[in-house]
Formats: sequence, structure tokens, C-alpha cells
Amino acid sequence: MLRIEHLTKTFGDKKAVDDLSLHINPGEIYGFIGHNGAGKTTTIKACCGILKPDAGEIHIDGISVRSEPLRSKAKLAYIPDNPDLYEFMSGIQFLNFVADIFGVSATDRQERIRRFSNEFELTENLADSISTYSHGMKQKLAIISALIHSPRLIIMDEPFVGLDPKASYNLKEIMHEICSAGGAIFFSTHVLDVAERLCDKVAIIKNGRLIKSGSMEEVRGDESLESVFLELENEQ
Amino acid sequence: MLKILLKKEMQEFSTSLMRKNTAKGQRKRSPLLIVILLIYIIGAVGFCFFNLSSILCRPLVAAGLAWLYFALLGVMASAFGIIGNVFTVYTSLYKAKDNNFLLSMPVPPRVILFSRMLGTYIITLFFEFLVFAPAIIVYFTVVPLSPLSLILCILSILILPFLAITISCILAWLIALILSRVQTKNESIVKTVLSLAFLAAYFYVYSQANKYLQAILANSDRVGNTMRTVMYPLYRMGLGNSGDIVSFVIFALIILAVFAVVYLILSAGFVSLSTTNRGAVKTQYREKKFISASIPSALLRRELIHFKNSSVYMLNCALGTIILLACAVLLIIKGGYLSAVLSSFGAVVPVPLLFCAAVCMLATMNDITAPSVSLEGKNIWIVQSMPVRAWDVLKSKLKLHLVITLPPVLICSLCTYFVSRSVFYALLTALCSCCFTVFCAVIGLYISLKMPNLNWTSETAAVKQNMGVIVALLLGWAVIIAAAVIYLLIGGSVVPWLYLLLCTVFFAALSCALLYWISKRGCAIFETL
Repeated sequence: MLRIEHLTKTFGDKKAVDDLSLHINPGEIYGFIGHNGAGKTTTIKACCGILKPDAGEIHIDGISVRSEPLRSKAKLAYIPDNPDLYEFMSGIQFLNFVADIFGVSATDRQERIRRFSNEFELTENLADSISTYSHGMKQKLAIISALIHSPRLIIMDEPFVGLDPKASYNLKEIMHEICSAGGAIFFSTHVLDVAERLCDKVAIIKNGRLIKSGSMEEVRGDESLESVFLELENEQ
Repeated sequence: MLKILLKKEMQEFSTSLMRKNTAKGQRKRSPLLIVILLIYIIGAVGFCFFNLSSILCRPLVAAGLAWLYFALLGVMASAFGIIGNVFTVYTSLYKAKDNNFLLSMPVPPRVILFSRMLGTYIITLFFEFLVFAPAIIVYFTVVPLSPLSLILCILSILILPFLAITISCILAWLIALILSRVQTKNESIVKTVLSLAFLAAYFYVYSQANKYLQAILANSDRVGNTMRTVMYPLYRMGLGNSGDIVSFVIFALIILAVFAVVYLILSAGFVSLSTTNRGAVKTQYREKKFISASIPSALLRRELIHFKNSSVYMLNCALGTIILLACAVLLIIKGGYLSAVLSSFGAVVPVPLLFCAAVCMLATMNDITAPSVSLEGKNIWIVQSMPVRAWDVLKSKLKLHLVITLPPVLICSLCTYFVSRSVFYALLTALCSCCFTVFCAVIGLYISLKMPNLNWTSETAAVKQNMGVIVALLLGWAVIIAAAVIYLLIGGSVVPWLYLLLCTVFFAALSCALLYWISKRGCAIFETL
């Protein structure tokens, strides 16, 4: 579903991502963890076609992000860590805009907006301007906009930040639902408990390099993910 | 603390002017370009006020009313500073995106307010310098140069902005008070109406300027007596600039004292006004029938919604639409009168060319594409992560400009029939001015891609404090002036209709070339922003 091969991205003198390779199969929830500035967001943005890699290739469902960016983006949905949305739009206007871009039919979008806005308890706020939304409400709207076109791959950067417990639970259920239907989730998080309980596989990145990856059992062994992570962080 | 906040204000302002954001980080803009622009602005505006000062100075000095000369120019400089600044002051005081952030820190709110008030000083000083500096130069061509008088004149330029800032802050407070009681969805409309009211008042006064000038010169004694009481600080400034130190000190103390009083009053309500929206009534969501649209339609709708909900965008980039429509009405009503006036003067430039140039000049007041890329701001990730071509996004920005500008340009151009009484020339004017409008849209987008500013805390920075917008506006004027100069140089060797046609072809060809660049290189730039 997602194939990252030898991804490298440099900003000035700093190598933000250094020869990173990662494979995510359909049906997997893949966690991506690392310290601040490790290269998680850079990797995620490169997968979404927002940043152009200096080297390496990324394929989404077999489609190259570099050579066929539009086709690859049509397969995925991206939720950033800090969703800066169009504050001049209302919630429903934003959802309709996203639905139009992804070519979602009127019937499908009606059903999905109804379903997800009820689940995330945002229905009452859809007519309000996004400028009046709290951070959590913006996060919910960003999630709904990501789900509205039934993507095959959802890439999320710290998706649980700002979400209330019920919304977090709903999001986890939806993640399982998507994976059961053959999709995949790739998300970064600092909340290792959530990663441990939710993810099938995990990758740990440090200073731009992948230092450990594999199934949750392989990576953590007999210890907790937190212990493994801290141990790896302390290694030179 | 104040020094830190002032440094931040200056940094934001200078960054928006001097630096551009690229994929490789921030890069400095060409200092030469900035210098050329500044010289152009100072030259053009300074020239206007130089002429005005020349009309007023000699008669008033001869009548022993040199102070009145400075007081009148002081009023004009302050008015210029207020009009150019009031909405900037409102946005920077009450709507800056980092207000909440700063208020959450151990910074006294009054210090935040003071730093923002002082932050507008440089812009106000610049506006007032454009008016007052020519006035001082003209004065010293009429009276012998006195070092004391010169020093006091220069000091008055530095102190006078505090008057404009004080009045701008009071007006900004009033605007904030009104808008805090208005529903969020109506806010931009109310702001636009308020701004247009200001502008209408300004234009009315401007249109009567000549009458006022003649009245002032004919009744200088009476005007002087009125100014002495009504504008006492400016009376003292006028005396000070003529060499009276005591008067200058009185002027400075009054201005600074009023500034201080207004600051203290405003600081009492600053937190409440900048964080509360009493009138925010919840809009009830009612599920309507969903209609799907194509990608180009969705992108254009996005641009239209943004435009409609941003008073800063509307007022600063689309004023031409209103003025064009007003001019169209004027042409219909006064067409015959204008025709007679122009024929009696024997226009150097044929009437059709003159009116075509005028319509084009008004069209340049709409620079909707110039800030359009910058206005993406931190939201740019949305279109970059979607399956939408950069070319489609950029085309939607062009379409917005054309949707807002082409209809009034067309209407106004066709209304030139009521002056020229020629259907042929009216149609040719319409064709030429429409091509010019397309050219303006394309050149604005080109400049927006070359000079993007995505890091802003308030839309004002993207729209007003944006070098690209200034360049686009001046370029439009420069093209029209160049076309006029070329016609004057070649004299009567080209018939007016042929010249209009040549200009049309020129604008169309240039637009095509720029469109090609935007579709290739421009898209690549947008994708990496």
C-alpha cells in the first residue's frame, strides 16, 4: 500500500531524512515514532507529495508519487498535526470543497458527512465559520474531510492531539474499519501507549534514520514500547 | 519587555517587505528593487504634494500666515496618515493572530497595546513624510533658510504621526466595538461598508479640494482664526516651524499628552475587545441538498468564498470595481458635458485613447491576483496534498480576478460611448481594456509567484504589507503611462483606432507569454512553496 524506498531529504546542511525505507501492507496500522525533529513530519509530507524528496521513491498502491502525483494523492488522505483549515469557510463548505476535489458523488457525500459528523458530534457546528472552531473541532473536521472520499491510505501526523476521549475512541474504531476493508493507516504519535495498543507494526526514527521497524512484537519484545524507545534514543 | 515586542513588530513588517518564502527557506529580496520602488512612490506622491504646497505657500507667507500653511499641510498629512492606516491599526491592535498568545504570557496587556500602537509609527511616518517633506522644501524656497526653523520642521515630521496614530486608534476602537457586536458571518460586509464610507468621505473632500484651496486663499484670515481655535496644536506646530521654539514645545506636549491619554483609555478595554465576540450567534445547521461540482468550479468557489469573507482583500484589491461602476454611471449622466469640455480644451490625446487609458487605470486598482498566492498562507498544505493540479489552482485565482473586474471594465468601457458618441470606439475601448485587465490579472499572478509571503499572522500583511502587491499596482500604472508617452512621441502618425488595436494585441501577446510561464515554471514554484 505504501512503499518508501531510500527516501532522503535535506534542508540546507541538515539531512532531515536519511535513506529511509518502509513498507506498509494493506490492512496494517503502522505507527511511526521518534523524538522531536527526528524526521517524522518530513517523511509524512514527502509521502503526501507536499515535499519533493532529494532521493528515493515513494509508491502509494503501486503508483509513484514522483511521476504520478495526482493519481497517488487521489488514493490517500492526509491529516496534519496542526490542521490549519480555511477559516473563511464554514465546516460544511470545507467538506463540500474536499468532496468536490475528490469527485465524491452527492449521495455518497451526504451519507458520509451525516455519518461522520454525528459520530464526531460536529453536526451542530457545520454551519459555523471554521474561525470559531476550537483546536479539537478543527481536528475533527480535518478527520471527517479525510474520510469523506473513502481513501485507501490515511496518513496522519499525531491525530489524537486535541481530540476528546469519545472522538479518539471513534477514530480508532474507524481506523480498524478501514484496515479491515483492505486500506492502511500510517500515523506518527508521541503517545506510545496508543501506538502499542493500536498498531500492527511500528517504525522508530532517530535523526532522520530508521533505527528499528517491524511488527509490534518484534520491536518491543518482552519490554514496553516506551522502554525500547528510550533505550534506542540513549544509544549513540 | 516593550523593546522585545517592538522588535517583533518591526521584524514582522520588515520580513513581509524584504524577504520572500521559498522552498529553501526565507531569501532576501533585491534591495535595488525595493529602492527603485520607494523612489517611485516618493516621487509620484511627493510631486502631487509639492504642487499643492507651491499653490499655498507664497500667498500665505506673503499674508503673514506661514503658520497656517504648515497647519493646513499638517491636517493633510494627518488625514493621509489616518486614511492609509486606520484599518491596519484596527487589525494589528485587535485582530492580530498572536494576541491570544501574547496575552497568555506574563506581558501586561497595556504593553502589548503600546507596542502595536508604536508598531504603526513607521508606516504613519512614511505617509506623512510624503506630504510634509515637499511642504518644507517649498517653504524654504519662499523664505530664507533658517537652521532653527529647519530643525523644528524636521522634528515636527517626527512628532506629527502621533496625532494620526491617536485618531487611528480611536477609530480602530470604534470599529472593534461595532464589529464585536456583529455576527461573524456579517463581519466582513460591515467592515467593507464602514471602509467604503470612509473612502467616500475622502473622495468627496478630494473632489472639492480645488474649491477648498481657492476658498482658503481667498479667506485666509477667517480660516486662520478658525484653525487657531479648532486645531490649536497644529496652530502651535505652524508657529514652531516658522522658528518659535516655545510654540513647538507646546505642540509636542499636547500631541504626546493626547496620545498618552488615549493609550491609557484604550488599554483599559484592550483585553475585552480583542478576545470577546458578544454577537457570535450560532448558525443552525440544516442539511440541504448536496450538489457536486467539478474541480475548477470547486476551486473558483473557494476563491469567491475567501474574497467575500475578507474585508481586507475586498477593500484593498477590488476597489476598482466600485469606482468603475460609479464612473459608468457618471459617463451616462455627464457624458455630453464631458464631451463638450474635452472638445473645447482640444485634447492633446484623442478622447477615445484618453478614456481607454482612464478605464485601464481604474482597472489597475483591482489587484486581486497579486496577493492571491500569499493568501494561501499556512493553508497551502490543503491544495498541495490533494489530487489537484497547481495549474487548476492558479487558474482559479485568475478567474476570480476576471469575474470581479471584467464586468465593470466592460460596462465602463461601453459607457464611453456617451462621450465619444462612437459605437466603434466604445467597442474598441472595451476590447483593449478587457485585454489589459487580463494582462493585469496574469502579471499579478506572476508577481505573486515570484514574491510569495506565506508567513503572516494577519491577512493585512499578505495583502497590504506585501511588496508584490505594490509592484503589481505600479507596473500597471507604468504600462499605461508608457503607452501614453509612446503615443505622444509618435504624434499623429498613428490613427487612434489603430493605436488601440496595437495596444490590444500587445497586451494579449504579453498575457499569453506570461500564462505560458505560469503554466510551466509558475506551477513548479507553487508546488514547492
